[in-house]
Amino acid sequence: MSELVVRNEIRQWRLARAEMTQAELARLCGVTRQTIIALEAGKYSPSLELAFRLALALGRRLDEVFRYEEKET
Amino acid sequence: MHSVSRLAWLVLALAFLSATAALYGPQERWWGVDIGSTGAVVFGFTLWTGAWLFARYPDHIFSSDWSIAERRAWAGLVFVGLVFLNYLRFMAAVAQLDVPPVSVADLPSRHFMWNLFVLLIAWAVVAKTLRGTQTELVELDERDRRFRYEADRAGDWTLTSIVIAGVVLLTTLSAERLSWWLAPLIAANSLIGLLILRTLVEYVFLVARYARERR
Repeated sequence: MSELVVRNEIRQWRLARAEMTQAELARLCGVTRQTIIALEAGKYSPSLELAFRLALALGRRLDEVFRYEEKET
Repeated sequence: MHSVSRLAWLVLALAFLSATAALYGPQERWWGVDIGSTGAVVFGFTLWTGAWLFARYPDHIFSSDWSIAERRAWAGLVFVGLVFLNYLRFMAAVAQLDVPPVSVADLPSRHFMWNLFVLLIAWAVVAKTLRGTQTELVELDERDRRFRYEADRAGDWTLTSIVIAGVVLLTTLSAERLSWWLAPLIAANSLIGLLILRTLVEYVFLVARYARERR
């Protein structure tokens, strides 16, 4: 039995963009900084709309920021 | 921990202690002190001191890891907890009546209504000011809304469970045993209690959800 787990590279791309802060990214995406923290820690899966907004704010394609992996349970 | 934060939690603890003393204090005096009245005075003082502290220093009291919605959830839990304590005391006083009340004037509700009014005003003030000085921040985003939805579901489950338990009691207990509970004013106040309990469960769930995610 396996389940799909969504992983992201938000932190990596954020730091690559001139060390953008979590607060800046949150402001650009219209969410709280705590949501960015939860996303980077892999504790929260965003809606499709927020995923697109994050990719746009980071200047990346969606599949560069998010990917899913199969995890054995 | 910041000293203002320590002071705020101390005031909060004192508010709960004094509220308990005011609501459940003994009838007789202890060493010449009326515990109930003293508790009521201290509670009033701590409530407004606490509201002022939260209004003046919200960013010192709460960790920066807490979103505005989470701060409001904690404030909601504290105030609904106090409302529930107040309600339990009121119902305990109602239960002391020899006959079920037939009009609102028969209810021992003067302090209950006043306490409720003060708590709701204080809650509104605190909730309004929790935003702090960071006015550019988003107050509520999709994550907060998702947590709130889950908390609503927990509240719904609680309400449904209690209503089913009530139905079972209504269908199994004798009319004689139920007569006190079915008096209109008792039934009406029981329903209000049910709504307060549902709200309390929602807030407990909500703060637990935020805390669990941060771990």
